[in-house]
Amino acid sequence: MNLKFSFFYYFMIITPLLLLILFLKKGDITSVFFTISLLFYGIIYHPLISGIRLFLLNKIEKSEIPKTLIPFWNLRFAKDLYSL
Amino acid sequence: MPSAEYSDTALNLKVGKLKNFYKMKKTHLMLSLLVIFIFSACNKKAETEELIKPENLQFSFLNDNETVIKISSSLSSFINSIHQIDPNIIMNEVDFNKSFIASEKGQIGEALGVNLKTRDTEIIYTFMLVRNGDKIGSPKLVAIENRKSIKYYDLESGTLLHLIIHDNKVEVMNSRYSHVNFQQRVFDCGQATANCIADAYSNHGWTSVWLGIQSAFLPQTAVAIAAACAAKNCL
Repeated sequence: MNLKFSFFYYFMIITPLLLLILFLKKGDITSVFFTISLLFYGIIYHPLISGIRLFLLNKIEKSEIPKTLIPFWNLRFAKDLYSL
Repeated sequence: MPSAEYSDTALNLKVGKLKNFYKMKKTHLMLSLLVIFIFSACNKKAETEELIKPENLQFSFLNDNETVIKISSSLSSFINSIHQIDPNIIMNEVDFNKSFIASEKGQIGEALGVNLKTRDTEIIYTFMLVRNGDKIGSPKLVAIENRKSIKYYDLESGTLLHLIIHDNKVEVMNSRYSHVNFQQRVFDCGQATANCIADAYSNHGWTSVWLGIQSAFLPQTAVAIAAACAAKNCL
């Protein structure tokens, strides 16, 4: 399994969010836990996963991975990130 | 032939106008009925408000020790809040032997209360809990000033319902009063923000689905929603 593969990348970014929403709907997690997890997902997890994929696709240097934490920085590579 | 055609068009126009007239009349009739209905409903409400008479109110002092303890323990946990509302209230001289229960005939809920002493003689303060069956609602502080103003401070949510009575009319105002401790306020605001975010992602049908998908592709959406909810609940 490699983040180079689009489907694996999609799996990695959609599954946590889907699980969070499902657990919230079922009442297994509190709204506070959901909010903290969602912010962690939006600010750290998603940008880092995207950064690793961009690095594996040779679009950015390894040293540029932390730059993906800058909001909207990834958007310039949206085509490479989300193309199947 | 042209004259027959003309007369046909004229007839059609007349029929159309007549139809429009009836349509308008129908609309006017409907509107009038609606206005009458609203007015009658308002009048009914006014009548029911007038029906609340002193003889319908039941008042007695509490003999039940358990309930008195409930009132005193609830009051002790809101001492700071009450002191913040009015520092003139003397909290260590509350006479729990005069705790009372008040209800209206035919109504389900009942008010449990105790009067608080104050250095200010113009305002009467009552600490009140509303009991509905086994459930006890959030504690309130009621301040009555010269029978012209009644303030209901909700000690849990920090909301204030202010009734001003003048010329037999009651003016109602809703607002917030400054909450006691900053920590509690931050906690309330955080909890409300979390609830708002959870609600946005789970209780709005297709909008929630769209929000989930958009957050997966554009994670800044989650941050934007969090910011919007925080602004709504904390500012």
